[in-house]
Amino acid sequence: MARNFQWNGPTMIMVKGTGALQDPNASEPGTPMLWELGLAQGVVTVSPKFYHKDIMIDDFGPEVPVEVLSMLALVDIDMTMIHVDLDVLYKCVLNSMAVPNGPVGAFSGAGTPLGGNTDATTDYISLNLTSPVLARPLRFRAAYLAVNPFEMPLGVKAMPIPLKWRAIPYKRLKWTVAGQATDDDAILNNGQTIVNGAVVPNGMVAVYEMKSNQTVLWDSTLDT
Amino acid sequence: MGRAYFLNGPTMVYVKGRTDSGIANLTELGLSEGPIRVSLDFRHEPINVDAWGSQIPPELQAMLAGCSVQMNLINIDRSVLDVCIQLSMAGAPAIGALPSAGQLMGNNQDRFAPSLVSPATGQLAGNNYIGLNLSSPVAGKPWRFFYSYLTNPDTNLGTEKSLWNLNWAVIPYNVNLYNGGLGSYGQLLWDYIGDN
Repeated sequence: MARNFQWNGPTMIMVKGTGALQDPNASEPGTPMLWELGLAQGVVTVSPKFYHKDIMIDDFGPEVPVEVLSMLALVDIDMTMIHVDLDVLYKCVLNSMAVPNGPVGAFSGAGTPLGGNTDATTDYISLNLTSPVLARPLRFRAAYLAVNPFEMPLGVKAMPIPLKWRAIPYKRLKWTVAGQATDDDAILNNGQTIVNGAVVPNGMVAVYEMKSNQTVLWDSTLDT
Repeated sequence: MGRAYFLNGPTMVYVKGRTDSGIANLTELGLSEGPIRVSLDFRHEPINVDAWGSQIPPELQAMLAGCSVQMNLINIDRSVLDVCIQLSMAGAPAIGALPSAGQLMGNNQDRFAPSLVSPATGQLAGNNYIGLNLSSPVAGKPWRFFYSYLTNPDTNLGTEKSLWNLNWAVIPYNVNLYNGGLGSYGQLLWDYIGDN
């Protein structure tokens, strides 16, 4: 891609998920559905936050690290909606408050995880930003309305509704077998650990762990 | 079309509005005392680059356009003008009355869509934009502004003839803002065909 002025084009904000965002007409409960949330009044700001940890050694003095460790990242996405589907917005609010069944304004118990260590029925929201001109859409697969999630200026004028999203590299805990590159589910059966349908060989240990390597924070494949 | 002196000819001003309004059909509004001024308002956003000094841009982005049409009508149908005034006030319930503060002009409705709610409730929800048409009997190039409304009409009252100074604003109203990613591409601000 050669150097040029870059602009994204009209950006449609779409969301997909389960919980409050599930397909209400699907025969199978919990079927995720893609919804149009709306159009922003101004720009949509995407701000990744990279985290690094310094390694200090005395030989390099007290200020400058000799090496830096990458410690994953988050993304903050800010937008002010002006042409918005309020029903969809409230579904996002419900998921973000971990009360997918509502009512809006209620909370789940303190400490309720949004992911719940599942892939299929998390309350996380897949946030999609189209890119009709630049052709580089963005999908944040585990996003939620965060901190000051929205503001509602109530009055006679059309409401610009600021939204603050946060996306994390969510990944559920899975069984892995030491020495084997597998993340498949394991079943404990009569004291034996079975991974991929096979008993864990002697001398190997199945451990319940989370690997951050290759966890996706965002990609450029929009949900359908 | 070759080069020539351009003469529009006697310009009749026509208006057309909501199908449940007094100008549901193309209606004569009147004749102007002098020339009618059509002013196109193009908007461009500069892209400034430090390498170019950050003051004169090396490139611009087109950011749509509007239009203003100014006329002093001297031979005018007052009842038609009253309907235009009502519609320009987002479908006020009566001439001289006000709509609810914040009432939308287009209400997400198609062009000329009627009100969907009983006028008795005061909630008129049709498309109140007016189709403004300027005839062109000599040049054969009439103007049709799809979505227009009056801003600040004024008149003088006395023993002499009264003129109505009408300023129309024209915007690119649309219900489909995203249009599959095309946005405003192809949106008509005006054409040379005219309503019928």
